Amino acid sequence: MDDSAEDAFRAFVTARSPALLRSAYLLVGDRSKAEDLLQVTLLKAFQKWRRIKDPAAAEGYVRRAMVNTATSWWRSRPYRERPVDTLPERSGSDEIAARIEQDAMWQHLRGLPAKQRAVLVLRYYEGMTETEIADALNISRGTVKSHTSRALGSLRRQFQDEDAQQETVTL
Amino acid sequence: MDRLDERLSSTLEQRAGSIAEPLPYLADDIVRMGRRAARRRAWMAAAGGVTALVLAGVPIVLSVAPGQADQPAVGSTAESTAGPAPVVPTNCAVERLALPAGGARTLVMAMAPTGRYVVGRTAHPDSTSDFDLLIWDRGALHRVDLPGEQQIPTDVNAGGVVVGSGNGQAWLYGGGAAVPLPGKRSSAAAISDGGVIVGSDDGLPVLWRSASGAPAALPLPEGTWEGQATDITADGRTIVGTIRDTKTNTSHAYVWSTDGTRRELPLPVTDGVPAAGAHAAGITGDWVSGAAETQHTSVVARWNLRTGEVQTLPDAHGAGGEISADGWMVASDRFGNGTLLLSRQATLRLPGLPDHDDARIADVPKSISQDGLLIAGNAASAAAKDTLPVLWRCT
Repeated sequence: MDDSAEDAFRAFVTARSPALLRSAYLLVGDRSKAEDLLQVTLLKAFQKWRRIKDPAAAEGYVRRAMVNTATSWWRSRPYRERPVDTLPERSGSDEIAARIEQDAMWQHLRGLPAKQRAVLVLRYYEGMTETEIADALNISRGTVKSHTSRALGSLRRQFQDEDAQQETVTL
Repeated sequence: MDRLDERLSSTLEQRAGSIAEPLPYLADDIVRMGRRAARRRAWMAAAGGVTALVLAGVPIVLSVAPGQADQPAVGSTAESTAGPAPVVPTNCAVERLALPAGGARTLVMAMAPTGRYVVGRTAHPDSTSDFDLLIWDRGALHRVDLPGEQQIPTDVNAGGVVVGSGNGQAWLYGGGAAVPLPGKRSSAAAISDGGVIVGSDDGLPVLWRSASGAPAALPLPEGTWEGQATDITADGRTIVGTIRDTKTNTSHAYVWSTDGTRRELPLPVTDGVPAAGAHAAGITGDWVSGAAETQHTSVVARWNLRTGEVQTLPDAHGAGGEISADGWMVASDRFGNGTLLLSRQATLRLPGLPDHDDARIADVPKSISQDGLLIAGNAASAAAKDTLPVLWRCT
């Protein structure tokens, strides 16, 4: 790789790695694993940089590779890893209830099978369409639909149960 | 957008926002790693010469190496593997393991069945992608600068031989030298006391009888499969793994024995409904740890090979994979707040560090000794704003 291509790669990493790391974190639910995932996929992009060239295409490539690596990691290492994560420092007193709710939601998200979680992250965080998700995960639109409905179904059931319990308590 | 959609979006936004700026050396590291790729191939090619040195210290037969397998952990009560069923522990205390200099991104990853060796990783100075191997030998810390990148140790045997993987390259560290294991795209998951290594190569479960030998494919049922071996007993007689039918997309927990037999473990049944799939993660004696996949989530499971007993543990989450000779496992509780020791009779909650901070960081157990009384892992510390390597001792 010549110097100018390498400079372009460095500029891409510097500009896009914060956003990519956040996506990686949502996909794997753990800071250390997210860093590893980002590095592994950036290395792949570096090795194919001459063919990628366009930074916009590079971002698409890295995102697809991250999602696929994250879901295959789950396949290959189901129970060796456990999430370690840090909550943000900021939390005003009026935010406590919201934070507890978000914690519960996050724990449920983390408990989902990786492909279901990936579909939710791509849809609700990345704002991708069903077709884009199908393309990124290399699965059919029907499979995207079924992953989404299974994931939402289990979250909905969980939270309806909790809402029902809360109502009982407040009565 | 209904309420659930809003909750999902805001949870993801908030969580993503909690991730600070990444890694100052990231671009430099990736460029260096890319340049090193060619050199790594050279390292593999040169490995034949180094291997002979290592193998002097690594017995390669399918048997326990005398004098290596039976060294008990100092300070632990390690006699319980013989004799009658042990008393269920009632009390566990947490103690910190020595932290390496620098100490960034230090994580305990595995422990020998005897508890003597604990292995982990820590960031190499000035790098985000190069990790040093950490070996705590009865508490004394050794740090090893391994070749390669993204080095993650996955197991250590009773003789202190470590296996791990990084960037699709399985490796072994023993006798003072690190060697890559032969293979196309390899991953090492576990090593027996006799030095037999199991893992995967090119997406299929394999076994290495020695660090220099080619990986041998473990036999699979008829059909199209992918998968990996995840653990081998200390005596090297039994291997477990997860195999996946690529046509039906279902996972199966699988057991191979050195007598040539192999079989699928039964799918756990919860509330009358059989699981959609199963994973095997660890084996000690007759006990296999793993997970059952339901339609919506996965739950911790354990099997007994002798009695055929299968059990799911829905309140536990993410068992570390190891299991004791009496079927005890460690896990986080369902919401990640706290560490559980799951014996067959009772569940015991393990204490955090004195300055633990449940709200911010979770304690993570990684490995349980064969006698069930030592647990290695990473415990949250408010002062460190991170987890620290720890050992729980139970009595």
